[in-house]
Amino acid sequence: MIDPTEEEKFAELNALVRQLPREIDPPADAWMSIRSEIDKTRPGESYTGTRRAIWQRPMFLAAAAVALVAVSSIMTAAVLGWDAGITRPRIVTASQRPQSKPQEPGPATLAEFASVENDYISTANQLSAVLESESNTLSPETVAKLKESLRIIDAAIIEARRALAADPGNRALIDMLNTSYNQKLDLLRRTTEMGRS
Amino acid sequence: MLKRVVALAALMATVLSTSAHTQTKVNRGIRLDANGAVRIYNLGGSVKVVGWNRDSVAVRGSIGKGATFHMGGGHAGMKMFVEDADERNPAAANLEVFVPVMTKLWVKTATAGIDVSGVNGSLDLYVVSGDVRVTGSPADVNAEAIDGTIHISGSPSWVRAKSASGDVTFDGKSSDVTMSTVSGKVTVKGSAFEKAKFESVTGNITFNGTFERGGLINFDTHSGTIDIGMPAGSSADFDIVSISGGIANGLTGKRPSVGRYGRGAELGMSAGGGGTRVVVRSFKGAISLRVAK
Amino acid sequence: MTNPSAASHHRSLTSATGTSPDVIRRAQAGDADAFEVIYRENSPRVFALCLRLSGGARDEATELMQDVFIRAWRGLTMFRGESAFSSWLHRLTVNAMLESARSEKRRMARVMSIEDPESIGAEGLRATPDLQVDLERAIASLPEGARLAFVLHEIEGFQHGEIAMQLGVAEGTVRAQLHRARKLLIQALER
Repeated sequence: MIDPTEEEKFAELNALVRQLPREIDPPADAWMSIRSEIDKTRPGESYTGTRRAIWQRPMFLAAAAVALVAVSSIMTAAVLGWDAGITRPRIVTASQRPQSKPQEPGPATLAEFASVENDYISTANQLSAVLESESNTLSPETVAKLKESLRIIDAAIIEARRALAADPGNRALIDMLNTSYNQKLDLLRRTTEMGRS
Repeated sequence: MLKRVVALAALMATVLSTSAHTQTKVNRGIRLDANGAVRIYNLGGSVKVVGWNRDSVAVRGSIGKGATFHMGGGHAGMKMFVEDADERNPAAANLEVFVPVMTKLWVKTATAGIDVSGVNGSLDLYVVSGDVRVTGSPADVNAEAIDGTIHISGSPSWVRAKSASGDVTFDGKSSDVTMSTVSGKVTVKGSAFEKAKFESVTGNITFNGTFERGGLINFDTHSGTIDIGMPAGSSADFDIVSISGGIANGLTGKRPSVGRYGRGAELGMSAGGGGTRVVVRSFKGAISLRVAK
Repeated sequence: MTNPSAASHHRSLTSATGTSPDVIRRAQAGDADAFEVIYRENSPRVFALCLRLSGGARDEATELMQDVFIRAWRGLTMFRGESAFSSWLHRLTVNAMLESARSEKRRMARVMSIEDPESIGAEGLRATPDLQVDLERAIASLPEGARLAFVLHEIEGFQHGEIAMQLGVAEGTVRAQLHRARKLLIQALER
């Protein structure tokens, strides 16, 4: 129930809002980036967004072979059975991270989830590589705790993955795996950012 | 006379050189708009931020041996940071910062603890292993730690609190909350939760409070326990699945059913007329519902 | 799917801002210069929306706007004129904004850079009274849910149901967020 005084104030606020400009000039050089992107393709071609997450920027992708990547990726790859020839789609975009609004219905079967899972693993590997290249900015104690946390998450993923393989249509298990993968990516992302002062 | 001057000069030199090897006091101020932005970097020691009713920022405290304090900016935004001679082993710098109540605050530390009170703007707080404490009613709080603990009490309308091995605690009211750990404990006490997510991998999750009607609340864990306490007569629609753990229902008379393939448990029910969707998922941790006192 | 007649298709392709159907058709065929005309005519409106949705962070808003127009280019063949072109761009803008997660970059962009302390509200606006600048800043300071509801309803003119669909929430939540936004703004302006 709105009291009259409040209603008057709302009316004043509306009057003020109506005076706000509906158009604001963007930066003069904004078109150049757009033009350089659209020159590469034609209307109708797919697009994942220019707002690349930090781990997608080439300058941060280190080629070093690292214990962090090795342990994590070997464990998950072994469960997935990379030798079975599962394809790796494009790198996951920021839109697949947890959001505060209700999620759209996700994959309902193991087969549908495999594509999503490939994205998770690929992104996790890239993040781990970035993190390892910057690990000298973190204390050895913090690196040890981080590795322990990643080991815990990986163990949970493997356990849930095995259960899902035995029960491929179990939606609750798919949801749990999504949660675990997102937790892993989130931890890697946060630690990567923390490593930068 | 000359001997005394020389002796005095020698004494002064000693005093000055001594102070160069001990803590250096900080006492600075700068004008800032009522809803301006403040960024603080301090690797070790402590950062305490207090909101006040002035359009200015004041800093007092002390920095360690070999460190330098920098501060600057304009009336809409400013930053301060402690520059250590050896960033891998930062000397403790203890800062107490007074900021306008509606400040947008951003703090990053390594081992320094962060304590914020009375600031009602946005808070972004990042620590590696320090502890974070927030009290009051900030518009929103984003607090992240690796192995530090996070404790938030008050009524921020939006909260994101994440640690890996540290505990995360919330005590108050909020409409949109996410609290996440890997092995740390998640402890929640409060009300007005409309959209909430409480998750861990192995850490135990404990909730005592009420939900906002029409909301969506998620509890997720792999092997931690989930314990949900609500007052008698509380309304919620529960959707609970444990793949291989158990469910104990002390809230209503309904018994959980055995899960798929004869293991684990599931429970779908409405308590008190329903209205808030509560989804609980556990791989093998035990889930319990009870009447909170 | 039945294709509209040429005449109705011609009428429906005309946007509220007057982008001619011929320009849209040429852009759909891959003419980047025609698309630049679309950009010049629509970018001030889109940028205003991006700036307010992003809480006043200019860099963030610029990136979001660029994202919107690139999506528009890629999806241009999907525009069949059932709605005004500006409405189609509006929906793209809100969807693009919602798809970007709460990243560090977004959070940090809400803290004004000391290199550009006047970045919120003042630059890019025509000369406005102080109260309007205060209002812009107050809108930028709103919690995200309240800000989205307020900008989309009060400034952009979407209905509660449309906003609820776009944000994926209940209509009641939109109304509650709107009410909260109004109260917070009044408090901020009265201070």
